[in-house]
Amino acid sequence: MYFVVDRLVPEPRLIARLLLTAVAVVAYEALFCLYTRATPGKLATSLRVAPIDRYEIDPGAAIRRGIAVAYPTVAVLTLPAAVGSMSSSIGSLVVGGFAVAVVAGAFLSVATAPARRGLPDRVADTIVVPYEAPQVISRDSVDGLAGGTAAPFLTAWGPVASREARRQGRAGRLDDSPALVVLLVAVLFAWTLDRPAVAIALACLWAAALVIDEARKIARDGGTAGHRAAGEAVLDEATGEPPTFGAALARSAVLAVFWLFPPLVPVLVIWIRLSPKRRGPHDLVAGTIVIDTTGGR
Amino acid sequence: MAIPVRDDSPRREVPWVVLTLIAVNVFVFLFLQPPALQRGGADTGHLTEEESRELAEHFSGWGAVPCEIKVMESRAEGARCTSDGDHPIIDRKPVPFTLLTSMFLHGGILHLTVNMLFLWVFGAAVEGRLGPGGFAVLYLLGGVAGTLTYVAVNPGSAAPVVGASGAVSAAMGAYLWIGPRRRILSIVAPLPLAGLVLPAWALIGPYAVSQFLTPDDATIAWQAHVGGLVAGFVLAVLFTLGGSVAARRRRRREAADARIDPASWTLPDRPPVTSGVRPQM
Repeated sequence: MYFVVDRLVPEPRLIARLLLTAVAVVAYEALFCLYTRATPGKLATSLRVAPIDRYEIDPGAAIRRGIAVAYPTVAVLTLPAAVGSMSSSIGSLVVGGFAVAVVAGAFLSVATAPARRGLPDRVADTIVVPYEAPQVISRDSVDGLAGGTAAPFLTAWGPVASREARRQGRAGRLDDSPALVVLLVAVLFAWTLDRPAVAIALACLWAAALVIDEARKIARDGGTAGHRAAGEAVLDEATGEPPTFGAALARSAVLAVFWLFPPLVPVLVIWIRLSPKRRGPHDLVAGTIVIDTTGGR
Repeated sequence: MAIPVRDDSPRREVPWVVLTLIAVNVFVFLFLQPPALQRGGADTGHLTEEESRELAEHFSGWGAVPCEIKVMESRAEGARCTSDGDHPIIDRKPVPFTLLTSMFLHGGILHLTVNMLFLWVFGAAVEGRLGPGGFAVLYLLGGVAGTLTYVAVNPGSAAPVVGASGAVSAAMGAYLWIGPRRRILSIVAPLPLAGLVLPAWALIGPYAVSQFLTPDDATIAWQAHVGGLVAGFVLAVLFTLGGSVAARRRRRREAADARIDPASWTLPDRPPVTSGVRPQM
């Protein structure tokens, strides 16, 4: 593949060559999946790519699978150069780290996934099976391999809110807080005007205002506008009532520790995902739980 | 500085025009513009003498040079600029054409990345609202309006202008009219936040105002941004108003023509369902 790209684009156009390589990888993966049901490497080891619940893979899914395969492939191709130049500048350090993260992430996503369905499989809704496997792989059998999908945990006050509802809740967080948005615009302006001291002071003020505002609303209504819009309520696990102001303040403050230091955010995400009741450290501190109030709608 | 990541507008169709424009811009940058740009030399300032000369000739040849745009002819044919500086003179250059070509050139990886990110976030929603044809017209006219604004402010300059910024600003101006309260997931730089959902006005408003605070010695054609922003807003107003007036007139005519069948009333507070007329909620 690199042999072909080498002849298409002259030497100095490095990024153009990477892009062409990625396009070639997408075409290779997608066309082989469409027309021979597996890439040559899989055919040689008697494997094939099977779409779930259907006989033939559709072109859109094949292209999505190709794109998901192309990312780590290009990262592997650039890995030696990217890692080799990591010590030369901050930019190369970031690029090298990113390449390592993409490659490691791709391998880990396959190695740790249920039924070995890595990112390309999940993106395209496919699974890699032995060639002589049944023609149509049903979703039930895949879920069976993966150990089944867990039903939402039921508490005394209702089912625990889903991940999608939590995402919607975050999206609507600032909906009824125009003052916070205006203050944030002031932060942006201070930054644009090259006043870092003012900007940092305003940013601290903004973070404090957000924590207090969130605590007040959760203690009063059992949730912010975002929670309500997504059909969620933040309740005290023991009583089923909104938490006291002190508990809500502790909850918001612990949450702020995480989003103020972005490297900690993955810790929060993994913590919540591993917890059966989807309770993160903030919920444990305040003794709260986020439940679904829509009644399964 | 706030970096938009994505917006919450519903996607009914694939935004083909936006995707095509991004593909064209990236293709031009990677395969047609001088290779020195994609090695990052222009971003970090590490260019050899030969590369700088090649870049200067490239931008003077294909970028929009204000003093040439003003008289609409190439400088080599006798026209003079008040400040020639050290910009090379290109013979028999198709000057009107450069209004268009300059929109698809970029001065560095960072320039291209930022423009394409803003085009994707704001352009896709605008295309969904105005339709592919409307968006294509808005993009091209906005880019030309941005360049012309820059020419009007600096008519004597010989420094070439490049970049899709004017056209991308036009998409942002149109977004301000179409959905100022739509929510945009963005990364706000001074706060170490992972991501924050902001209304569109809180992003585009500061962007518009900050253009006037850009220092004059910066290599940013902020006048082109302002021109594009205003042009985009005005064009979006014209497109949507024209469209909605015509559609309302057509709907009223069809409603007047249609016979109302009492049996089709579903609820007392609902309008009658007639064929070809969309019920108004």
